[in-house]
Amino acid sequence: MAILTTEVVKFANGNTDFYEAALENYHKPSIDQAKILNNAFFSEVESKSGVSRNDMAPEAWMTHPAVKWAAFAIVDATIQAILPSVLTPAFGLFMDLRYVGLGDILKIRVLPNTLYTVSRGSHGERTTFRQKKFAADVIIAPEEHLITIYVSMYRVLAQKEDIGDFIRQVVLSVQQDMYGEAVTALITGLTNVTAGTDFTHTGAFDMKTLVKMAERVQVFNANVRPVIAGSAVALMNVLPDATLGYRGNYDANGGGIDLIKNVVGFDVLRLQQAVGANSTLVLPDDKLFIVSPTQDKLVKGAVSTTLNNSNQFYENADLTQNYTYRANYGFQYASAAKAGIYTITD
Amino acid sequence: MANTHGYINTTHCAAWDVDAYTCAGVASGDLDNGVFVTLGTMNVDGAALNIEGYEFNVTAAGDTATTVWVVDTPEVGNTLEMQLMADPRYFYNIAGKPMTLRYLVPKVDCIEVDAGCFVDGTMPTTTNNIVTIGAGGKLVAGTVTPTDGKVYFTLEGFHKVSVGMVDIPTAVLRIQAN
Repeated sequence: MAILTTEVVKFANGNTDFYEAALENYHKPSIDQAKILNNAFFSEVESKSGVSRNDMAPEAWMTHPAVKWAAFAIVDATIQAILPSVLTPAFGLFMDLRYVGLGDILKIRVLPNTLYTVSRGSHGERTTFRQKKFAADVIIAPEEHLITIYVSMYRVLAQKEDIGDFIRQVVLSVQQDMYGEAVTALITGLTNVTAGTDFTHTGAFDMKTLVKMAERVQVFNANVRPVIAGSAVALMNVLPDATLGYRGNYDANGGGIDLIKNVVGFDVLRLQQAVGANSTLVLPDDKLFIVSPTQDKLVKGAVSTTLNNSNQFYENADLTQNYTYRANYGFQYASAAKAGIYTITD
Repeated sequence: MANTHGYINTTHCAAWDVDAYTCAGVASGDLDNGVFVTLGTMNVDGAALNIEGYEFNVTAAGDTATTVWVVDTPEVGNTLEMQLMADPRYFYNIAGKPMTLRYLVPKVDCIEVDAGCFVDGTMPTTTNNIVTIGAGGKLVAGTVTPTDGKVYFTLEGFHKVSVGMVDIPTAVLRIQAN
């Protein structure tokens, strides 16, 4: 059984079959599954609205206020069922996602993670120079993001619109946008925070420099071993240096090219890409991130409950029905953990 | 407001342990921590000089001032923003409210200050390492050692104060004349 949020389970009133099917169809779409899901959707609408399709003409049923409400409430719940499953794997390495109420902002206290200067003493002084560190607060105000789509009444009645595709694309769009914003927050924050320190490096790829940075991150993160992460293209630069005298035997069986999976104990992890504005990929080709996943996550996200609105076909002059999905979210780099960023210039 | 107010650490000062080197002051304008002030009158009832309180009226020290005190109030807010934020650079002393003052002992006391304590936020360098008091009681780094008894500091070195995930550059100064 899929893991659904308590809100979805509550909305489903115990019968989560449709939402589990929607979740499965999102991850393993098929034509047969889509048809089943489409029928299940209408059954769920009947159940939630209490208005049977058998008792009236399709047009009258579709425009019934209770049916309309139920349809979009179910769409919302379906999106809520799917979103966590697509967000968590993508964000897990560097993201701490927190749910806040509508109108709330998130305040996170970040503790310092630096070492004190150690002085030598001579057993004759009560104190030495006093040092001080402070926590800092980071405020994240979720920003509203909107998607408005529409369906034509005639196409709905003719059953040409596939509700499965509709949900999938809304979820995918939100997920990609959230991931894109989170990655932007990661790169911007990491670049700013590490500027002028040994946690940042720009230059031609050098394995020793990368390993040294990983060692540094490990030391400052209470010896939690970091991973080296990046886009597939960026990780293609992580190769043994011929001048260091490596020797290996490589099997050409199958003709595949794999990424280096491990560099002297530091795992190499490929991050999932996402599409940002203008269909560009959000993860850069030239940046490696050195991150300790089990330490305080680098990027904090605030997400609040989604809202939607829609109208009746006959309220639009062109006999269409609008559906607006709005989600509030925001991301910011805020972490007590240390991380490195290696910008490859060759 | 922003987190651009001055920050001071009385890193090695006699005022830790000597009550007489600490007192309360009241200024007519807002003042950051790390600003140097001169003591005016005590809280008295005008010309009769009946003491109504042992706090002093203070003004930001000018560049010719001698016998200065530095503002070093615990960074707990007088406004909602100051109160919410742990970052000490959000803190400043509000006009008319008591602030904590420390006297610095020449040749002995050392303070650690960030860029917010300097005029225009300009920190000293390894060559601009003589620090005097400039406009508004803030510090100015230069190369000339005052010879007329004016307050000045020498640069001991550079350090950092971590505030959350950010390290703020600081300078450790030793007061040479006061």
